[in-house]
Amino acid sequence: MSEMPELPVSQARMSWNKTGSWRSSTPGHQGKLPPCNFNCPAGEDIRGYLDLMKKGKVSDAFKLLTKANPLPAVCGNVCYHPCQTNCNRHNFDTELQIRSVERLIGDWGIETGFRPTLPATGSKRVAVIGAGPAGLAAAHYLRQSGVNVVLYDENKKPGGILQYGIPSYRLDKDVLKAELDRVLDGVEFKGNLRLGSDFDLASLAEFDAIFLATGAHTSKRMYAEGEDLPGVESGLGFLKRVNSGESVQFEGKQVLVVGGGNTACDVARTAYRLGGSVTVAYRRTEHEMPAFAEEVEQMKTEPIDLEFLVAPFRLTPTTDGRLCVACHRMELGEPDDDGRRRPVVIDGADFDITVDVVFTAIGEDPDLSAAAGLDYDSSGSLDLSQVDPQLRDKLFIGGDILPQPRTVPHAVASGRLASEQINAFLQGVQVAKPSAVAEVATEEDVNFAYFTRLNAAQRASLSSGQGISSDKAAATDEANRCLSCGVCFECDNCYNFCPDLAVVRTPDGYQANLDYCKGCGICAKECPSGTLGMQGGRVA
Amino acid sequence: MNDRPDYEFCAGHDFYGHTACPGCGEKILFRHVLDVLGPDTMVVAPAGCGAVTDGVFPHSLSPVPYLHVPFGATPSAAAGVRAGLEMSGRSHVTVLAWAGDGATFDIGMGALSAIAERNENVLYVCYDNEAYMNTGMQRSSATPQGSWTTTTPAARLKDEPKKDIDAIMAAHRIPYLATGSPAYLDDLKAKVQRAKDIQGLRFLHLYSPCPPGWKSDPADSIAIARMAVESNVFPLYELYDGERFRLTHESESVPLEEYLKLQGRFRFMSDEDAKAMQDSVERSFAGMVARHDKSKVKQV
Amino acid sequence: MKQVMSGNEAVSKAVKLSRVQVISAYPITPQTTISEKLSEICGSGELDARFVKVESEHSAMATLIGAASTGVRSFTATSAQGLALMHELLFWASGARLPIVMVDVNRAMAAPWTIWCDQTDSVAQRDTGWMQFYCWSNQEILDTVICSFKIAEQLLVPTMICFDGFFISHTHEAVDLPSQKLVDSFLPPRRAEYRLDTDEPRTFSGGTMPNMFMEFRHKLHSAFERAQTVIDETYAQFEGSFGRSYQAVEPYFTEEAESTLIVTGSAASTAFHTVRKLRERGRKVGLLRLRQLRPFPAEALCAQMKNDSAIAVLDRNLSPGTGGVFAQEVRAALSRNDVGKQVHEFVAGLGGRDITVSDIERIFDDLENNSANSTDINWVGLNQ
Repeated sequence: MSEMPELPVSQARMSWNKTGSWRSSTPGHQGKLPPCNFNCPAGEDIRGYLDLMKKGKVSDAFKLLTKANPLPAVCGNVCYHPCQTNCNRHNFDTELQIRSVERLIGDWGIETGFRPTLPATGSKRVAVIGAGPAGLAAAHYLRQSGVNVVLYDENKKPGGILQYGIPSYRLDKDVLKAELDRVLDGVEFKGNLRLGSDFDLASLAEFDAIFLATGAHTSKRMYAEGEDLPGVESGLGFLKRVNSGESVQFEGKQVLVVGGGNTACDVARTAYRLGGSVTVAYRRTEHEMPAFAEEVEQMKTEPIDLEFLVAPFRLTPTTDGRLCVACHRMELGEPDDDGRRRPVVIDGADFDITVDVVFTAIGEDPDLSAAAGLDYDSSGSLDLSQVDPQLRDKLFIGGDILPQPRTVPHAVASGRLASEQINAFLQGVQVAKPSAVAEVATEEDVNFAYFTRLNAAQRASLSSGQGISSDKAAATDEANRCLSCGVCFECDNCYNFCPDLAVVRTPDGYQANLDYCKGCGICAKECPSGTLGMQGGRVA
Repeated sequence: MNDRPDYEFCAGHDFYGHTACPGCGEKILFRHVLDVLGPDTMVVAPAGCGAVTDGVFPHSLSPVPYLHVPFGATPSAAAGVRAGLEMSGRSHVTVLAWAGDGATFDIGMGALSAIAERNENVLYVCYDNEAYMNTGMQRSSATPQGSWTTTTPAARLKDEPKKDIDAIMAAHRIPYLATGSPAYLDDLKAKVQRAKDIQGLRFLHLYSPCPPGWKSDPADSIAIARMAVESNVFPLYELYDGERFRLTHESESVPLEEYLKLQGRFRFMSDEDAKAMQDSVERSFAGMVARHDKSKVKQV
Repeated sequence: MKQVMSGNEAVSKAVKLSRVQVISAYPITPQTTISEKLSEICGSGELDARFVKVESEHSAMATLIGAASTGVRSFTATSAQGLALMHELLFWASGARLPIVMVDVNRAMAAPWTIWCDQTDSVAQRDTGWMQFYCWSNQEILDTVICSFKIAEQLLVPTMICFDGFFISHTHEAVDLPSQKLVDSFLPPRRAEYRLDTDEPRTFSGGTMPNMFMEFRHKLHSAFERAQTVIDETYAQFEGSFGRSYQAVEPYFTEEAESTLIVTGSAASTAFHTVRKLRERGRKVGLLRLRQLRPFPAEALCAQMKNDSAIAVLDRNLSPGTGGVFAQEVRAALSRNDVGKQVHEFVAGLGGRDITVSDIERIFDDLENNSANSTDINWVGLNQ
């Protein structure tokens, strides 16, 4: 022992005492995903751009958002926002109006005329067939990576379902055009060219890759007698005519829309706006309707008659040029393969309804006849075995052709994924395998003590969401409600509350100082966003 | 990293390796108080958790001069340090008495009253973990009514309400009195800064969660401190010269249950006891506000 | 310059001359006039010191522990109950090696209540690690207080100066007051090697494990072993500057003494008077005045045991069941040094009862008659 002082005075410190040895659990970054990010089919870093919006950084938010989805103005209008419905703020006060914030960001891109810098192209050329959301995304990202892209579509204008399906009262045509102009900057668009009629896959042989995204536009048949009579039309076909600028009016007319999906809603609400007296007939109940809940809620605010458990089975012309539609009454029986209860005809309950126009909107199928050799197998997956071997290796397929949910963001994701796969193919490299699915941060992970609850009045004024999409200050306020689930937003709680100063601030984020951390767990508990969690055992 | 400074006094002065329990409230408080007061500080500390976990000879956690003193001697010793500093030309140094509830409410009460009456220039901090925790969790006059301790076992829980030390200190009309909580660090540190800049006897009553003594999960220390404030068990306020009162945090008045359920020391309380405690907390809080609100004529 | 003053006043003069910086005291009879006088001179600025007017003696000593830890010269005064109330802190001050100087105006311990003199209060503190000096004159008080600062600060051992309540504290005598300049040249300002200092942060008196505690006690003990040398040197220096000398054991009329009385305090001055008178009558009696209880001047005492004298110790204090404390200390010193002498223990004057000339004469008579008990206490003047 070194020389003791004359009196008991301590001059050495305590840092030799590595209290990390006391630990029986260790704090760490859990790497959980925010539910908005996790649920966004397009893979947007929603938390990331909300974080930028907290400081009003719209431009940076736009750039981050459009890394995953080039159509924020479109999606800000029509996306079914699974981000919002899964927001962890749902039970605390109310979910964040993410779609409205996205719309503001998208509108910024349009108002400022922003154009990402267009890189020069190399020698590679890719053909994209179908200018719907999938094809648009693929074309955009390929061109942004320096690939020459030619985009084909059977219609005059690009947009696919965005242009010719979704009505203008849901998605303004000017907004769509402005966004498409940016998205297709540098892409050669060739409209009015239908695969199978005007060209075939073989004619694209000199392209280095082909992306087929022609969607699903063939309306299913009702298999009802008389369904080919005049006055009976596919709902999609009707929407296309209206969206192409054709003048249609239904003043004084009875319109019957058969179906319960988004198409049926769009048809019904369009027909109503054109003066028609509209009835929607669906063979199951509201509960089983595949349409987005929001669409159904909107439709219910309009004087559109909803008839559930009704299925037309025969159409006959009347003497005065109308249509008599014979319908079954249905009841719900056992569940189908998709879990929805199967409708069963009630004997002896048939009835007639006389209308002027009938639109069918009971689902659509892709038409693969033009893509020589492409087909589905018995399990519903795509079968390329009959495709010309020279084309097969460079043929990529996406969008509604694939057996995946049919929404705009799913299609966008499909197109962006295709662009990555095509780029890898063109460079002769492997696509990185996606990492293991991470856990999602739930409301149990969040410490709500650090967030201020909106009161009833504030929640009510939020629910319309209108203010946010057109007011940057309101959008910034809304973004500031983001809990940053699972992701650190540098509040310093862990650093401040540690009794042992065992949380260190580094340029790479907060780290536990394992020499001293006793594993008390305060940091994890007081982490507002559920970034930190405790793992059992002493991590060396 | 955010734009808060990387360097703070304790973090930059080897404040590591102490032997306090995991989740200890006292060390959270000590660190932040020292961060505000800085190097021109001398600590006078009696027997208690804070002093013992500072370390044993020849080692010490404290980055500033630290004088251990006997249990009941803190207030007087602090006054003595102040006298010595003045007589040796070092009046700018803050004398920080750092004492637990045992040393403050009980054995040192008389001496504390004396230095308050004489308005000695000392910043006296009581870190209140509501029992004699260092010697094994025996009851003190700071122990809440209905709490288990090793000397108020389940068969005979503490009968008496917590001694109202703040009312006692307020009656001395000292220049500055404040309550503070580790769950509200901005509020606490602002109070330490104000206290630092005032001369005379400044008394800070700080809430100090103790996982082993309160039979709580170490991870809950901050949550408990928060619930104590939000349920009005430990309201946050300051009082200048015994007159000018300022409530520094509007609580949400959460049900007492939210506070009690996190701590095993309350699990023996009957529902009637809990109800009585709720009533007592409400009365106490209302009384304090009413008492001091009369003086709102002279606002801070 | 000579002035007539009480014992308590002499204390105040010494404290002022010693340039004490922090005083903290609580009044108690018969110390009160010390407190009052010091309050006066601190209040007027005559002495540049902080006087902390505490609410108890425990707080007084606690205050000085704080003050002394910052490196300043510190002082207090008390008696009996007050000293006892400081008890735990006396250990603290010595263990922390703080050179605090304290005057104890000897007063008997209650119960029952008393305000009058005996030495039980200070002797009961002999184990606390403080040096103890016992004075018999107001001059000695002044001189001893000044020297105590010098000795204490050199050894880092706290020191108490004791003198009899009322008999000395309130009795007026002529005292030669030295000049401030002379005292300054003898007693420089305190320089503490270890003190509370923000430039060199240290922690004082932290918990010490069994493997090191004993070493600190040994260091304190070693300081006591060195103490007599330091004391003697200091008083030699004092004599050089001030012209007055003091010894740990002061012999008076011990030449060829057949009976020698060992005694301290004001009883020693009565004994001096008695011994002188008896010598004039041809009785071979002598007096050894003890000035120190700690360190106990064993060597100096044994050196006085050379002749064949009967030894008696007069204690104005009592350790119940055993006897007077000075007697025990004398016995221990003689035994350690192999001086085989009978010690006759006399207890007198408890609770302020006068110790008279005839009491002392009786002691010497008993010694000469061999009627003094040597295995048990001889109570003087006890009313049975």
